[in-house]
This record gives sequence, C-alpha cells and structure tokens, in this order.
Amino acid sequence: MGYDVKIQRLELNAIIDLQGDPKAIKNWIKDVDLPDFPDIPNSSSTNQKFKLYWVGLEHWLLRAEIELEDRLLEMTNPSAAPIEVSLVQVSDAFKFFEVIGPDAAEIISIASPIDHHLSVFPDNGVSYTNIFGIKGLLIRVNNGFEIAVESSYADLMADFLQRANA
Amino acid sequence: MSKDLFRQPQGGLIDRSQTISFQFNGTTYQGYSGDSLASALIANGVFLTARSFKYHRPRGIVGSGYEEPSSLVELIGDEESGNQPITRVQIRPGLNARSVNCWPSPNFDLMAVNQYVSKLIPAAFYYKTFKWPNWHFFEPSIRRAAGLASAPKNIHHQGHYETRYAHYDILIVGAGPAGLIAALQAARSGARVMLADDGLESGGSLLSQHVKIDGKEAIDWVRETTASLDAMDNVTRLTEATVWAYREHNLLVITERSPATQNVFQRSWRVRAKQVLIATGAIERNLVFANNDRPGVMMASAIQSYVNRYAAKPGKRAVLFANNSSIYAVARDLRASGVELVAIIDSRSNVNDLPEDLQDIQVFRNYVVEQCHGTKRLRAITIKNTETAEKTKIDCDLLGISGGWNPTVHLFSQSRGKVKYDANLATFIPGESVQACQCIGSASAIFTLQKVMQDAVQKTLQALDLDQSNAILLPQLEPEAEYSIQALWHVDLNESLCSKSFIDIQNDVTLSDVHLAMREGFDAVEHVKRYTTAGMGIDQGKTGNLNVIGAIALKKGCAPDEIGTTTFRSPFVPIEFGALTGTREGSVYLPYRHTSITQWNKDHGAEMYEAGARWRRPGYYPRSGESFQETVNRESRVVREGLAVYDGAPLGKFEIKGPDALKLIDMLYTNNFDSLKIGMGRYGLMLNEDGIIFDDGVTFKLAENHYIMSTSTGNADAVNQHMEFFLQTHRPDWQVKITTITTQWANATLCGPKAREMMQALGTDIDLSNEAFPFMAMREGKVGDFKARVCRVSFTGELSFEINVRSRDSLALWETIMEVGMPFNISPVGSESNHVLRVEKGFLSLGHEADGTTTPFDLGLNWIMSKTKTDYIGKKANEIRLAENPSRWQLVGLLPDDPNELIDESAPITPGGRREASEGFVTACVWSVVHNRVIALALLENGQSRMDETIYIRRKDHVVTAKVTAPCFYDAKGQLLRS
Repeated sequence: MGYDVKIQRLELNAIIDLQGDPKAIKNWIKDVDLPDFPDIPNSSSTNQKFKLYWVGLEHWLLRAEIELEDRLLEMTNPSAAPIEVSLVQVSDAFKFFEVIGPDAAEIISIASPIDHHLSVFPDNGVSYTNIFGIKGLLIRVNNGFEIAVESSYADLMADFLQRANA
Repeated sequence: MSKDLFRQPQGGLIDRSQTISFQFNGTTYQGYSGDSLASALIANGVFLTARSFKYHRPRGIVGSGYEEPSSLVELIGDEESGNQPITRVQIRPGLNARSVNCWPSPNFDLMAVNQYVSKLIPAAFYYKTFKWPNWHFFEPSIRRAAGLASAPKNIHHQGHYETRYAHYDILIVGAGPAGLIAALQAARSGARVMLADDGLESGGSLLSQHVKIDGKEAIDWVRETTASLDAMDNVTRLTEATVWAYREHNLLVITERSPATQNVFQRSWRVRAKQVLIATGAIERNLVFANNDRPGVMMASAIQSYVNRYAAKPGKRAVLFANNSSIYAVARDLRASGVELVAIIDSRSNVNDLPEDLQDIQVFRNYVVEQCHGTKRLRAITIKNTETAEKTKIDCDLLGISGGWNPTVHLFSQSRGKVKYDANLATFIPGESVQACQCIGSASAIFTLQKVMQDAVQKTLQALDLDQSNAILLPQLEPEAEYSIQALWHVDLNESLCSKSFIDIQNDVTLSDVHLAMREGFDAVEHVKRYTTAGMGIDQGKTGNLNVIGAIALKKGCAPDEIGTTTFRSPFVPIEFGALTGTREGSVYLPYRHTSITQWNKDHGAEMYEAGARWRRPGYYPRSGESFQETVNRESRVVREGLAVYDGAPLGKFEIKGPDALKLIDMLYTNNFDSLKIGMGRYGLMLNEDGIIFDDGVTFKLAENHYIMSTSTGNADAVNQHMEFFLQTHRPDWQVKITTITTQWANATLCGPKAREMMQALGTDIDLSNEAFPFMAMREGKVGDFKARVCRVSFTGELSFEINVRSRDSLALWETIMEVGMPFNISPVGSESNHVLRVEKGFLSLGHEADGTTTPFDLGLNWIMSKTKTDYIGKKANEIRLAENPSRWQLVGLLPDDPNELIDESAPITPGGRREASEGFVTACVWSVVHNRVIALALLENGQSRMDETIYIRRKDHVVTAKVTAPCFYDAKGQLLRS
C-alpha cells in the first residue's frame, strides 16, 4: 500500500433528496428532529440522528442510519408532500466510501480536482465534484473524507481507490 | 576511469565516496554518485557519443541539461527506455546505455556513407523524391530507417504512474536563485506555495557557478534555503519535476519523475494556482559556423557546469568563442579547473569588458570562428577577423561557444502571453501577461544575480498583493558586471561552408537548408521550420531556434521581431504517456456501471456488453454446444412462446415534481400529456431543437404535477442535462424539481405469454386482470415479499410486467423469480434477443433507426406529433423541414429474396444495386423466430410510398434483392402486449 489510509465501502444509509422552497420543506417536515439547515452552500449540519447537506440551489440531502429509514419515510411522507416540496427516497442510489487516515487527503488529491484544503473546504464541507471522472459527493469527516457516488459506479470507484492506494 | 586526465582531484557536487559502475555501448566505466551519464563519460575521456540524425556525422556532448541537442541514448536491460538526452540520465548501479542511430557504434557507423551523398539529401529532399513508381514502394524501407531509439518492449519499472490535482496560492516554476528567493518570500507571507524544479536538486544555475552569497558558497545558501522551505507546512517543494504545460485559467501540468512515495514510479500534477511565477531561467544558444557540430564543441555554460558541478574536464586545451560578456565567468572557472585556456574569441566590436583577473588571456576581438577541424574529435579551429578577413589557426580539443542567452519563455508563451524582441539583448523576452503570471529573474531577461533576486522578491510581493513592509531581506552578493551582447546569428561564410554550418544540430539542419527553404518560397518562420525541420526534434530547438529566426531576418534584410517566433507548444520536454494517464489503465481505462444482477449474470455465463452510458449488460446467455445464433433464437423463442426475464435496471428514471411539471413534460415530448390519468403511463418521443429524435420512453403520472419519467439507458444523462438546460436557461421561472432515481429503482421485467401466470405464482396483492391493470398502467403493492411498483410496458411486443423494487432488493427478487419461474421454464434473456424482438415489432431503436438524422415523420410516427400543442421542443424545426423538403428517407421493412441471408447493418441501398449514391441503408437485420426467416428494417427514400417494390442492397461482394414491406412483422395491432 502506498499511503497511510483506510478505504472501505460503507453500508447503506437512509437518504432523502429534498428540493424546493426551504420554508415549505421545513414546514412539511417540522416534526422531524432535524438539525438547522446549513447557512453556507456546500456545507452540512448535523445532530445525533441526522445530517443535512446543502448540495445545490434549493436542494439538500438528508442522511441517517439505515435503521431510521422506515421511520423517516413515515414522518416525511413523501407522496403526500405539497406540490412545491419534492421529497424522494434515494437511499439505494448512493454508495458511500470512507477514506480515513493521515494520508486521506493524498487519495482525494488523486481522485478529484476539488480544492479540499481546510481553508477552502472546512470541517463541515460537502460538495458534488468529479471523482475519478464520475460525479460524486465529497464530504469531510473526522480524520478524512467520505465519497458518495451513484450506486452503479460503486465497483468502478472501489477499483479506482484500490489503484490509487496500490 | 581516466581519473587524472579528465576529472579534477577535488571539488564538484558529486559524492566521491560512492563509485558506480555503468555500461555505455558495451564498455564498462565508473563514475560517482551525482554524475550524469554525460559528466561520467567526459570524466572517462569519452567524447564521441553519438551520430547525427540524417548525415550520421560524429557527435559529442554539447549541453548539460534538457537543452542537449546532440547525444541521445537508449537504456537497455532492466531499465529499457526510448530516447533520452545523455545529459538527463543519472548514473546508477546497473545502468546500461547505448547511443541511438548508429550501427555498430558511434566510432564506426555504416550509415556514415550519408555524409558523402549529403548534397543529394538536403532539407525537404523527400518532398521531391520517392515518387516513381509509387511512394508505397519505398514506404517499408523509409519506415524501417525512420526514428531513433526503439520503443521499449517491456515495462520494467517498479510501481505505477499516478496523476493528482493540487491548488496553490502561488506556483513557482524553477528553483534557481529567483525561484528560491521568491518561494521564501511567498512562504513567509503565509501563502500556499509550490516550488517545482526540473533538476535533481534545487539551485538552478547556482549549482554550476562559483559565486558567493552572504559570504558563503552559493550551494550552501541553496541548501539552507531549501531546508527552511522544507520546514514550512505551507510549502510543497518538488525536484526532478518538469512543469511542461501551461493551460487556461492558470492550470499547469507537472511531471515528477522520482516521487518519494513507495510504489509510485512517476507522478503527474495538474496544478491550479492563483498566481504563477515563471523562474525558468535562460537557455544559452548556439553559434553557427562550419563544422560547429564536431565532438569537442560545447555550450560554454555546459563547460562551466561540467567543471564546477561535476569536477570533470571536457578537454585539455580550450578556446572560448562568444558574442557576449557571459563568457568571462566561464573562462575563470575553466582556468581554475586546470584546463589550459588558450584564447577567447570575442566577436563584439568596440567592446572591452575583459575582467582584471583575465587580462593575461589572449583575446581576439572582432574575430569569429570560421570553421572547426577534426572529424571524430576537434583538433583545431580557424578564426577570422571580421574586418580584415585575416585568418589564424589555433590547435585545441575543446571549444566553448555562447551565442547569447534566451529567456526560457516557453511556458509564458503557452499561457498566451506575448513575447517581444529586445534588440539590446538580441533575444525575445516576455511581454504582457494574459493570465495571472509573471516571469522573474533570467526568465524575464535579467542576468545579474543581485537584480535577479530583487526582481523575484518584488514580483512575489506584487503577485500576493503585499506591500514593501513584507519584503524579506536580500542576501549579500558580490558585484557583477552587466551583461552585454552583440547579435551574431551566424558567421559570414561562403555557401560551401554554409552547408556544414549547423543551425539545428539535432535534426542536421544547416544554414544552407534555411537559405534553400527561403529560395523555394518558404520564408515565413513557421514554413522554414516545417520545410527544414529545424526545431522539430526532441530538444525542440532550444539552442538553435533563435538563430533560425536571425538567419531569416538577415537574408530578408529586416529585424528579427519582424520575423517572429514559431509557436511554443507543450510538452516542454518529452513526457511518458503513462504519466498522462496515471491510474486510468486496465479495468478502469473506460468507466463501467453494474446493476445488482451483474455478478449473477457473470456467474451464469452471460456474455456481457457495454450497452450505453457505460452499463455492462448481458448480451446473451450461451449454453454449452450452442452457436451464437442458436442462443439468440432460443432466447427470442422463449419470449414469444413462454416466459423470460431481463434486467431492466439501467433504464433512466427521473422523478419530476412541481407546479409546472406538466408544462415541462409537454414541452419535452411531442405528444400531449395533459390527459394522462394518475396511475397511467404514456409513451413519449423527445426531439432536440432541430426536430431530430433524441430519446423516447414512458412517463407515468403519480399525482397531479408529479411524474416518473423513463428514458433510454444510453441517453439518461443526456436527457437529464437537456431538462436542466431547458429549465435553467429557457424557463428559470418554472417551478419544477428533477430527481434522478435511475439506481434507486431496479427492475426485473417478466415477458411472454406466461407473464401473468408467473406474477400470480410470485404472489401479489395487485389485481392483475386486464381490466384492473391495463397496458401502460402502473400499480403499487407487494410482489412476493417485496414492495414494488409494477408497470405494464413492453419493449418486446409480448405481455410484460416490469417489477420495480428498491435496488437493495433486486438480487433477492431476481433469485426468487428464477426459483418460482422454474416450472415455467423461465429463461433470462439479453440484449441480442431483445433486438430481434423489437425488430419484429418495428419498434425504433436509438442508434439504429433513430440515428441522429431521423425525424418522427421519417419513422411513421406522425400519430405522436401533437397537432394541438402550440409548442414543444423540435416542433418548429420539423415544420420548416417538411415544408422545404418533403422527400426523406423513411422507415420500411424488408424481406430479402433469400430468406436465409443476413445482411450487414448499414449496408447501402442503391438504385439497381449500382455503385452510385445510395437511396437508403439497412438499419437492422435479424433472424425472425416468428417467421423463421431473415427480416430487416431500413431507411429508404420515400419508402412509405414504395411498398412491395424490389430494392437492391449492396454487400461487400454482391448485391441482395429484397421486397419493401411495412415495418412491423408481428402483431401489428399490438393485441398481445395489451392482453
């Protein structure tokens, strides 16, 4: 192995794609104990149960452990949401990888053209970017990063990450 | 090793405690750690190291770095490589190198006969020869003779290539004095700094000169400075790293040849910098006179490098020849090394800047070297007074030449900055920058060390927008004379000597060749370059290009700035292809996508294809003993007569919701969607703005203004872009949100007459009757243990149920289906049989009938073109097209007269089968399991009005006749899929 890093594929997470007017969204899911919506684009907010990623114009991803998925769907009730609120279950559409360790940043430098220096991509940084040529989500976590790609690319991503750390 | 003759007893930056053996042209030599192959050979008294490209003239070592124009080697054995300049190879244990382009050796080369026919092979002779009887007659011989070293056959290096990205506040290219002080200034200001240098260690020109900085040897200052930089977290310092390209928006490309990371052989960086400082120094140029290519003729700065850095002595009896004042520092160092300096030839008139300590050296002012004598080694020169023409012969075995200094402006020029000619310096210098970059030090035509450092600090402050109070203290430096030069593009010679005066040493281009090009009308600098190949070798003319420009200017009687330069192109030095691709090789060379069933398919022997958008899908599932056609026939029959299943997961899927969702759907598709009921779907055709078919698919209505759109597999991403582009640029006022759910939902599609029975066997709470669940409906419920959305769509023309589940459930669903389906003899089928089935039905396929030129009208899809919608994408274009040219290639079916002959897709249809402009082509041809014969689809001019006509299809070596028929061969009314 070339770098001091641990790379592994993570288990499924519960993910809901939230799009629409933020007030309408907050109003619809007011009973869900969410963290405050991030106030800076491409950043996240978290509490004990949930992570909220601001990933685009009127676009967030809500993430939780998979065990909470059914309850989350019940509480958010996507099919009944008002017309200006789009809530879509996308748990299976994402595959997550963690890249953890002292050399995690080296792997990300190989994978992505994004500037992930702490001064630019802070502790709560989240952004879509190009990861080995594939659209992916880069998330800064403690001691490293997480990468999320569309699940069909998971095997390819694992292949690339292994090669980067060969 | 000739230790005593050609190596100084002490000094240099080599490590004399480590002796290294190496081989060159089959002979073993020894050198020291830190030696280049060039310096080690010089120290061993080896001066004949190469043969020239065309004439196979004896050649030696000319330079000391990447500018080396003369000696190329290839490495053999464990480090097998292609062409390498001899000056860029470091000696190491086991090194085995040989000269290229000579056989059997540089000392005796059979191809040296070319010298005797040199008059017959001037520049561009190949444009006028090899014509009769046919140039292909000569081609094999030319190909065998072409090139220098061979490409290596095996990969021996340990580790892999890596590419990576990086961002810095400031990138400094070159770690000579300017680069080092700039890096120190930037780093102490807190900026994120990258310093990249091509050399084995930082220092640049300071490694080859005896100068004092702060009272110490320059090398001590270099090492202290680099140690300070290495101690700072905000600095990345690279050595053996060439910055070889400058792209838009301050993106630069660097290849690091020996990164410290284990298992990484070479690393390429793509660096985005807010500011760039180009500290690439200057390159000394050649002087042009007769036989200036003989072994023993070297660049003066290279001599300085060999005596100072490598403690080697490139000769015993030396003369120096220059048109500028930099020669005197070389003279000083040469004398100090113990080489006898016989004379200095200074071509400048009315200049006397000879330093005090060199007054005892004989200086020939207003003289030039007219020619060299000696063949395999220099033995004498003839010099000539430029005013009186008086000639003198001087014996020598080493001639150091300096034609002046050219700022290394290559990267600056690539950044689109303009260069301009400076008559005082007789060179092109950087002009105005276009991107956020500046040249510093010698790269900006500053040639005294004091001013180099001052310039570097000031420009760094400017780049970082800092004021003077942030300036670091400059070191103490010795006083230096200003640089002075008088242009000498070539020595004035008669034409016979011009033919032996090399202006581009690497490609054997002489002054005569430049004059020949101009006589033949090629007098623009870019034409001279291409006609003569001057500047087109591996060295890219680093030591000779400006002399070419000067020679053209002299001939035309104008100034060099009126001639201009040729385009500076990347890479600055040769780069290995592997360094460009990095990890993108082998299994990841092309991206691939898998479904949850991919592994099951592979485990069950499926032949996997790429099926659009990088998805790997099963083409067919061969069984032992079956031919390809038998397998496809079997799978097709299963669908038509029994029960089959296929993995439809890759189909593009989008959830579309918002108050304006229906408006968007209606704008995207040609048909109306406003009457669509909840729980129902509708087939839609999507056009581009030119009215050409772009995509098709079924869109289901979940609720008011809430839809699920399906697209083709291959076009899913393109449709997504198309929708977003339209919304963001044409209708940003529309409130619509699009969520990609392609991989959220996977599906297994049951198809065949037994599909409904199979659904019942699986167990479901959905009413499967045709009344409750008609064709094109979607129902939610349970199928087996799985929550599912089931859709009645059909791509095969048979009764079908598309069972959509969460992707995490799809493998379990698939395995359940295979188990429950056993009594039905269920079979998985792939894309090959799907293709057969859709041809039988006449369903369009993107890439076949919809080939980027066809409209819905061409394919008989008039029924889907709404007559009531006021607008949709592509509407206007089709109206215009129909009005202007009603004659189009239209979709038809074909029944070949020979029912067993399969016809190639894209085979042209021509009038009478004659070899003339086609009137159509075959878009698909398959063996029909329903009709037990070959059927085809085609696009045919005015096809819809040519039913029952016989047409002619040209195959490779014969013509096939076929009858035109309707483009549907099975269940034209669609009763089966609606059953």
